[in-house]
Amino acid sequence: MISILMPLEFDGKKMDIEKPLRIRQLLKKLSLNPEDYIVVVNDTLVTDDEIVKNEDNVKIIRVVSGG
Amino acid sequence: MKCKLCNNKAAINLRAYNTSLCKAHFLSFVEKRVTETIRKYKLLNKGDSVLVAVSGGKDSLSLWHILTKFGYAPEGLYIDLGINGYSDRSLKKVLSFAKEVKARLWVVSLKEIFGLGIKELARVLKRPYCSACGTFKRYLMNRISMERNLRVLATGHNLDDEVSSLLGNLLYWKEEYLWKKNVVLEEYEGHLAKKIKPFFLISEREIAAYAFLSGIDYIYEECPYSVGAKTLLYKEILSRIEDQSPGTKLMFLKGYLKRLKAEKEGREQGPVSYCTICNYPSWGQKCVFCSLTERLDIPYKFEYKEYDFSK
Ligand SMILES: [Zn+2]
Repeated sequence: MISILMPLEFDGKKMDIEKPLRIRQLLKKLSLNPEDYIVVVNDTLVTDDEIVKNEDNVKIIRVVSGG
Repeated sequence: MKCKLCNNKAAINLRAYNTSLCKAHFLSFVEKRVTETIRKYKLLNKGDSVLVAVSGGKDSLSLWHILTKFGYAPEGLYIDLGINGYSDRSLKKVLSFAKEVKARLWVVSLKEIFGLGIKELARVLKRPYCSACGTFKRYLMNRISMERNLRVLATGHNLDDEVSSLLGNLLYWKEEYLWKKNVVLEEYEGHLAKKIKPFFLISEREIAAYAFLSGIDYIYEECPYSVGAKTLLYKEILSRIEDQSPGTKLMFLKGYLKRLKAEKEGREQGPVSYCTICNYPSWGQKCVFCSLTERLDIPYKFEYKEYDFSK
């Protein structure tokens, strides 16, 4: 189980992944455009080739603001 | 992915620049590009007194952080729009940030001036929220920076804000606004403060990463009235284009700046009139702000709070 924290969207959602997967694939699974987000895994900002596995804390931060 | 400069693990991949960078190299990359913008467009000179308009979001707090780091010792201005809950939560972020950078913060509140929040004021003016909000913000930022004699007013507008509004102006051919957008708007003595946008060429994603890596505690929450705003639709569409063709947004905006230069050289400024009460540019005898204070029987002078964390 990986914990996904998306401030104000799917706050605190948990997701089961069968095998480790890349951030790029995770965003795709969630139908999120990588241009609109930055991703923090276990408190470290990572690029989208980073692999997440069960027990990781993933924070997906939306960067778009209303203006 | 590795940092292109030092081979350490990269923190961010910047497809528009065809590079990936570690934390340290990314922070200096952003700071270098802001420095270049400041120099190229003559945004600031040494010793300029600066007022930064802050909302508590990533852009304005990062801007305050970066200008402080560059040694400009800017003061902050927070405009309390009187939006239930949201305004208090963002003010809290701004206050704790001001304490951290040991700066002076000015807080002006629409409810204290008019007895009404932005929602009610928009109704009185029969205008959409975002348009009324923009009018009040621009007016108050300008008036307070002139009253405090802080000659340069800096805002956190970023590449995505500019590109989405450019797209909106083009889609509807709003020619009256099209060529008014710029990195810098010069001071007009007695009427308008100099306005600068040091993040004009920095994307939202870059600023969010910069804020995170600098440990800036900003508000993630969006203004409740911005939901469904056209800007968000344009941003979404532009992000999809950017995802397919990285660098498009930057090219679009740089192309605009290039054409703006040519456009400006061939054009005279039209006649402008000024408010007879406060000297702010206006269409009629009085500006929107002053006619509203008259209508609601509110005095011309209003108070705002000072929080001085600089000592
Ligand atoms: Zn590096």
